[in-house]
Amino acid sequence: MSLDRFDALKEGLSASTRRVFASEDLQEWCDLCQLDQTWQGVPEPLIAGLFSYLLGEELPGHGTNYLKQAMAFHATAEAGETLTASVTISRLRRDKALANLKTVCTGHDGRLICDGEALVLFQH
Amino acid sequence: MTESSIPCEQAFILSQEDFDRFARLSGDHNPIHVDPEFSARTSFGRTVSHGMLLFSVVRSLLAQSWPRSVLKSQSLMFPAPAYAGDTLELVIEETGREGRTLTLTTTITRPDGETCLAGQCELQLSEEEV
Repeated sequence: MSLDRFDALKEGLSASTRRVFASEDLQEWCDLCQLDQTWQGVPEPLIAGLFSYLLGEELPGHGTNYLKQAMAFHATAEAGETLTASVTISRLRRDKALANLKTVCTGHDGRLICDGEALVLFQH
Repeated sequence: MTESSIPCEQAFILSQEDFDRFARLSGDHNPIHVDPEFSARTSFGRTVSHGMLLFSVVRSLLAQSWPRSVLKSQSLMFPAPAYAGDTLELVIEETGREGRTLTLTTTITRPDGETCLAGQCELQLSEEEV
């Protein structure tokens, strides 16, 4: 087991992404879930998927074992709106190779859509 | 003493096609979800579901059960991986109710009894749903 990549992590390090979900994406999500109802705004699992994408692909990146995610939803994300999601390392526990990250998603006007915290295991 | 009840449950099976569709939707193309050959060489042995695809199944059952409710919070844990082709069981249990706010636990279990998703959420019900 190597902690070289873990040791490259620092509290305060952050990664972010921007994404627009088109109304076709929302319909595709409903189809995938076999839901025959119209959905108001962007479904929460697609917001959560932005955090999941960032953790798995960017920070910490490949090899991340996603243990926990907590989220509070404050406002609806609209189809066609540019969303910004970010993850920021808030705590590192080297003895257990665990990292906590703050997770935030905001709308095009900066309003808070979702905030929360992720816990990941990062060892190789 | 408060007793928990089971308002809803659902058995479902995810396919590799579902993993691929969620990868396109979420932009998360990690090979552990979409590349069977790569995944065969990992400790999992095969592709595993995106955690947020499992959350999608939970969210849609909540929407079917309480169509006019608003999801206020959700916590998720992913103790064990979920594989394509397995029959998974989702159980949603009510653990608390205060005014219009319903507290529920959400659990997805795979055939060997391991938990793939354990979570808790708060739903704000509409006036008609209280």
